[in-house]
Amino acid sequence: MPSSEDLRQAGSTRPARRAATMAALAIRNDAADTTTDDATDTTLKTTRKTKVLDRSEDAFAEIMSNRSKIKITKPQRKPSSTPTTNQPLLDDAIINSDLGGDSIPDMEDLVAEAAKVRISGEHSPDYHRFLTAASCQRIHDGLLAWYDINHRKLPWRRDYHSPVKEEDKVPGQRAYEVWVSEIMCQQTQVGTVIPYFNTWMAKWPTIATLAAADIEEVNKVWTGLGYYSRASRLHTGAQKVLKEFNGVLPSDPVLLEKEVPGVGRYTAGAIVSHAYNVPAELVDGNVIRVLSRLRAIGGDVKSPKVIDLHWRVAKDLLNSDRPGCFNQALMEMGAVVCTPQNPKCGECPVQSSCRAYAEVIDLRRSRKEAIGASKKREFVDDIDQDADEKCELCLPETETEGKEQGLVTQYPRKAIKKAPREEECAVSILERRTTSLETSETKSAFLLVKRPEKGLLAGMWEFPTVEQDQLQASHKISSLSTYKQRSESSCKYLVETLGLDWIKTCTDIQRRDLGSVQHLFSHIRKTYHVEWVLVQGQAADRETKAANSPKSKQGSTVPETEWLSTEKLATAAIPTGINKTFQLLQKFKEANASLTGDKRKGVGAVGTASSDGLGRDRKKVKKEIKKENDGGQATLSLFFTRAK
Amino acid sequence: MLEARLQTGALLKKVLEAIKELITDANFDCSDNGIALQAMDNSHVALVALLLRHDGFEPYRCDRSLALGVNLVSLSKVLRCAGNDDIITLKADDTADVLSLTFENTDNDRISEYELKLMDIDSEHLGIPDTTYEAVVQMSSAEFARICKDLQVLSDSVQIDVTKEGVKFGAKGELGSGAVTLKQNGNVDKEEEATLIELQQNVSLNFSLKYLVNFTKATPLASRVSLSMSSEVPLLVEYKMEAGYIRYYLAPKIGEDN
Repeated sequence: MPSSEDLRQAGSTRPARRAATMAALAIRNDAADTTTDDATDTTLKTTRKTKVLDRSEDAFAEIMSNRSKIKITKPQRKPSSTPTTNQPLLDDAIINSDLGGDSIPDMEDLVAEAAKVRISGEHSPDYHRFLTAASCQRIHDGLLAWYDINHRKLPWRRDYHSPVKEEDKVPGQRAYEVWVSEIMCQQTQVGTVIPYFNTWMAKWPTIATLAAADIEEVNKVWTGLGYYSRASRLHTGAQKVLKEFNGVLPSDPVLLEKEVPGVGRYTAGAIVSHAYNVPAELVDGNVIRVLSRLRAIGGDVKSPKVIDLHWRVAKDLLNSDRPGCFNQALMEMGAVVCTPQNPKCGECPVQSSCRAYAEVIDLRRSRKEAIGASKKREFVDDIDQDADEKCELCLPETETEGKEQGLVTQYPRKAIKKAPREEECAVSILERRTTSLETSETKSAFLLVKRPEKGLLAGMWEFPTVEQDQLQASHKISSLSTYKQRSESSCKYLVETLGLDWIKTCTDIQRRDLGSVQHLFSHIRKTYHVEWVLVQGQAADRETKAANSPKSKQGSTVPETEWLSTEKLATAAIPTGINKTFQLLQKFKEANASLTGDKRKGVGAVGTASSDGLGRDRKKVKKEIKKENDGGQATLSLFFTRAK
Repeated sequence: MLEARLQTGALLKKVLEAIKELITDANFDCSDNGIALQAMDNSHVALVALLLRHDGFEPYRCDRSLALGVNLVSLSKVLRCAGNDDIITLKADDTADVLSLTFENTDNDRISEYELKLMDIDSEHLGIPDTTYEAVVQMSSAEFARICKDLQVLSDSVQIDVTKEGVKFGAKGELGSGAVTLKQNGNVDKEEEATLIELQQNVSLNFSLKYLVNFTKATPLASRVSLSMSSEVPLLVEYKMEAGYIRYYLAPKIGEDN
């Protein structure tokens, strides 16, 4: 009877690999110091060799291997990887063979590092860079080989398939073509640009002809491309280049950016690298996407520091042999393969250098195989001690999308804007009205409370306000409050927190719901429910004295309060939201005033904020309307004031 | 001096139909901005604000602002003499006491001229405050007309409740009760019929159906109507035209339900 082990082995499509893995396993288990063991290395090499053979039919791989023969002299393995890295590599090999996985061996370094990052939850800034010549070389070979076969043929390209023409040898001619094409391609799809480019070049074949052209004519040819300032900048740029640079665009990107209108850092890099083969890095939207995925850059792509990092990585990667082709390859790859949605990772020529892809592989494996993950954890614990510098740019995982699903599209990342949260609070505008005996003049004062020194609107003055959390806590509700609940809370707040005990016993007091106003803070949408509390007559007189000497309760801190007159209130520094609540009261008073005036005389009452109508209760008014109009029909003069 | 030529005379005919039952006399205030009218009905419960912008006319000329006091019933009778496809030209001198109207048919072989005596009208202009409404409902104007007509069978007043789910028109009377609810929908296929709600706060208001039915005389002017409401302020019913609008304000019924 064959053992189950034998059966599996027999059924395996790759007996050689299986055997190698088994051997490796055995070695690891037996010897304590397997790390430098020759056997381990042989195992790895065999695995690699089979891989290369598998893909040899591919034309792309052919070019790749040809290139490698000529150029690559350095070992492919990253020198930085310490001997210990061999261990997780082995683990991966085992996991892989068990799952029948088909990952590229070079990738394993990246997967191991991805696992390290996943488990430790942090990484060094170097994680985002290409620090060794070998890692750059791998990208160059992959991308250029891919580009030579797959690039789109565009009229302004002189590449593998579009040999250099005779007229291109005129100095600056290529630069002019690249310049026009780059400006046209801004904010515009390549397919739209092609006919425009051809017309343009037929009309103004050289920079001198363009400089001599009429701006109206230029705009006419541009018609349909939009963003016409681009056309006028090309025109004025051509004139300037003719005058100051003898009609030849400079080959120094810094000079180009500074001197030629409409040429930014990207366009400058594009012109010099495509036309003059000057090694200058460039970063556009496509490049950002490709680089952020290759190096798993998880920072907000809108932030200047992250943009900076992309430029630095682009510089790391620069190819000095064919800078123009390499830059175009990078962009082309971003446009065709490494697309924003549904990237074609299967077709990617630099998949084996892609950290985003490695992270995906790692995440999938960790889910399938808990053992592998735990093994890695041990290894990570040893290694992580010497990593002292940590990357600060990447956004925390909680703020990113796509991480959980394990997709490369989680890069590049944007900071998620949070929607403002909804909050409500109960504001009571406490008005105290006193009548002076000598002049019989009525004076109003309003109670203001100082907000705590910390938090929202710290230290500002406001009307007594019960915040949402207190409101909900005291009524054990989680939803929106009702007027009754708010009223109770406000009353409790005035009496207990502010120490205005007399409110409880006061008889000459009127309370009215004024409705609510909204104010939008940057992170909160706050609804102020406003209640007007009016105290009049003797009660008010008496309480002036009491209120001026607030009893400070032991233990609890009573917020600072102050009574302000209407005039002082108008000039006091009060937050806008609170000001809105006061306007609500003013509006209500105005409406009430014009209403009483109209009712009596029928004409001519202008709704000012006179205090005459204030004492009247709204309910009485309603009854009056009822008497005059059947069915409670109000008239418009209650709401609109006469204009003349 | 006013001279305003309207390519589609039917528009003016429809406008008159939309306001003449609410208001008997009114001033047409002509300025370089266009022709405007604001007037309240006799009981001061409803208000009409009409604007025909200058760009709706071709040509439009008005050097000095002038108010043309017109009896709307008479004007609508004169307008009935115009064909639906006629081009209507309005003319008035600065000092004249008549408004002259010229109707030309499309073949340009029939020209009729009328003059209408003007009146001095003491109008009360109301300042309408700029209000941010708590609820704005946009819906098919035909649907709104139908609801008002249907509910009038049951009662003289309608209660309009707006929530974020939808708008409910309810009527209760001696006969019984009825309600029509339109759910908020973004029906892409029938954009014209969709009911859209912008809501700051739920509102519930009572209005006289007699007036609302009167407002719906403007239905031929626009396929959409917007109802803007806040608690205890007048309802704004707006029909937007290509170059202008007709707005109706209606004071709410207060305290009927408590």
